[in-house]
Amino acid sequence: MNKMIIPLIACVACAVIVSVTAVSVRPEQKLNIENEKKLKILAAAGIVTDKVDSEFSKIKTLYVDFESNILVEVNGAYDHIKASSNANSSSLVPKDQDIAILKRRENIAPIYVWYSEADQIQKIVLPIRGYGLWGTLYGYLSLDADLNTVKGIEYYDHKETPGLGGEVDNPTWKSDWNGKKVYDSSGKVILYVTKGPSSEEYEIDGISGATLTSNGVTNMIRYWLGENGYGPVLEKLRAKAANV
Amino acid sequence: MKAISVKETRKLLFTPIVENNPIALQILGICSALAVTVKMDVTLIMCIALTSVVTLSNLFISIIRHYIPDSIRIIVQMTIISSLVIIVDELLKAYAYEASKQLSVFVGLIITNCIVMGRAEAYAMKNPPIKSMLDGFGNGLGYSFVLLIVAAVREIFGSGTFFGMQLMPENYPINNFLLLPPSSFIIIGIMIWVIRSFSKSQVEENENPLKAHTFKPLKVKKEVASG
Amino acid sequence: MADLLNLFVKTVFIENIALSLFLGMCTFFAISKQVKAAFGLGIAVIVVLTITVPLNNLIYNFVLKEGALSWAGLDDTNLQFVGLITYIGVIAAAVQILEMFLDKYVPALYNALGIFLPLITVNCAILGASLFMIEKNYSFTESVVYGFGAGFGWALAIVLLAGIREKLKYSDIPEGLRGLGITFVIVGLMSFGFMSFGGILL
Repeated sequence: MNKMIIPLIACVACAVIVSVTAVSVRPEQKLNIENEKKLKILAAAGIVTDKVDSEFSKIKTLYVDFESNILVEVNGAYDHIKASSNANSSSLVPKDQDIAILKRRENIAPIYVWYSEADQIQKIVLPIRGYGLWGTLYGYLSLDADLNTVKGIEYYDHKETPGLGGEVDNPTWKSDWNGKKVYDSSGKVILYVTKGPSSEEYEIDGISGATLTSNGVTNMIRYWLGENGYGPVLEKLRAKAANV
Repeated sequence: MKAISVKETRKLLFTPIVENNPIALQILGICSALAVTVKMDVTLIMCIALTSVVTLSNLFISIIRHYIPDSIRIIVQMTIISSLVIIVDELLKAYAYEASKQLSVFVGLIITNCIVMGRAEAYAMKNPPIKSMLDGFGNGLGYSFVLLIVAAVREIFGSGTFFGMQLMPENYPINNFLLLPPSSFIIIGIMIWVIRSFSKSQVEENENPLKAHTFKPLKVKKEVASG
Repeated sequence: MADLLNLFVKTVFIENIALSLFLGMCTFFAISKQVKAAFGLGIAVIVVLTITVPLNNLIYNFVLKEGALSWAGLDDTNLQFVGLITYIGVIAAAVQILEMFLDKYVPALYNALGIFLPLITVNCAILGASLFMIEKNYSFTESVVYGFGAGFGWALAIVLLAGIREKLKYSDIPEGLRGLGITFVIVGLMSFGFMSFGGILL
């Protein structure tokens, strides 16, 4: 039995060291994840800064209820991605509507809004996601005060091939989004990712060698900004802005 | 403990780089070599992670090698290696978040990277700690050598950049072939060819049952025709 | 049911664990000289994956996941950092038990698979499949299909490669490329072939 003592000590030592490391770096890790999210939201809105928290505190987070298309109150921390996999806080997307291949969509999603002093919307950031080639792309799309002109796009998680579909992270490609229009005069989503370079104001440069990723991006824009996504709420916000 | 001579140190450190490369000759630890080699910076972090794990695991396993009963040695080695990998994984998530996201599960897969297990079993179980540590470090270097070359080829000729800096002229077209992961197989294949052209002892035996006939042009006997 | 079938086809062809995700490469190169041996190893991988992936799925969902221990009154515990060591432990134990079980009750199969089983613990395809299963958040039923599909895909790939290598013996290959070098190139070409399945939406 004596022989077992050293291996046993080794195992206990390993367990202790692993636990201590894991627990001691956990705050750091959580901070990274939070920080990354905030950074991407700011980046989508075209803000590049070191003072993430102070910039982020200027944003008001609103919550959209997709069932009734109204803004609702949510108390405490709410993770809409987590909510989308929980049967109680999400609903199945009907097959014929599911162009972005989400399978389930959360019932309530956050939107991030910058208000001016006069309580006018200056810009807005909407979380979007959808299937590309290898997996789901998660990102943020930012719109200008008219809630029609794109400000920027930013993906924070995807599994696309680096250099091909992974070019959704390329600054040159992302810069092409600025100033593009989402809706036509009848309120239909017309923005799409084309093949090759873009020429119209509702076209985005195609990603070369990544047709399926491009299509995925188009589909997720069409879904999330369309009538099953943020479309109706954006409509209401726009009408309200016009009234004031 | 006997001091290790400079010559021996050099031998332990440098033979695994070309002469006895873990990837090119021992076929160990290829899995991660392919998926993570598209960009230099990610590859470098992977190399550092693997080298530190294999160095430390060799050291610790060698320290307790006399006390590990034979029947449970695999599980003890596994425990030590997994603990080291978890620590590396957690540290990366805390201090190199971007890279850890890109490496995703491949850091965890260092556990089953055959280089780590292979060196623990083949070297650390039989040799004193310092030598084992050097051996681990040398093999880590050998692995890094191959990975960094593959990554350099893929990044420079694939996307025209090096560590993210533009290296090729602005209008260099993106080379899709090199950006796709399977190209690293072909690059490693060619690397093996180059290495073996210089060190002939590594050339594998020709197993062709018809080898007597290979590489010899058929000799047509003229007499047959005339006779 | 259709969903599960889709998942199976996707795992075997589109996300083939050997040729698209590049896992289990060490054994893939080492044991692919003959179809017979490759076939034996392939079967062993299928068996082990079909057992360990669902097993790890249960452990993840009921012990390790954040909030998974709420049934024991521990709501806030997040044990994910011991994930790696647990999965590899489960795999090592499962392989060991399988080996003993086969030895005792199915000696014929043990003789066929026996020599491959110890190799499997350190095959990254096995650990990799468990890690991917967790990343993709599969349910228990899905994890059974995923485990089987991943094993089947790996087995398919290694048997194909062994078939090519058997024929390759008769070819004239430049000296330095002979053996390992040409095998690397072939696997590269095979996996380019498998990439053409990419993007098929099921």
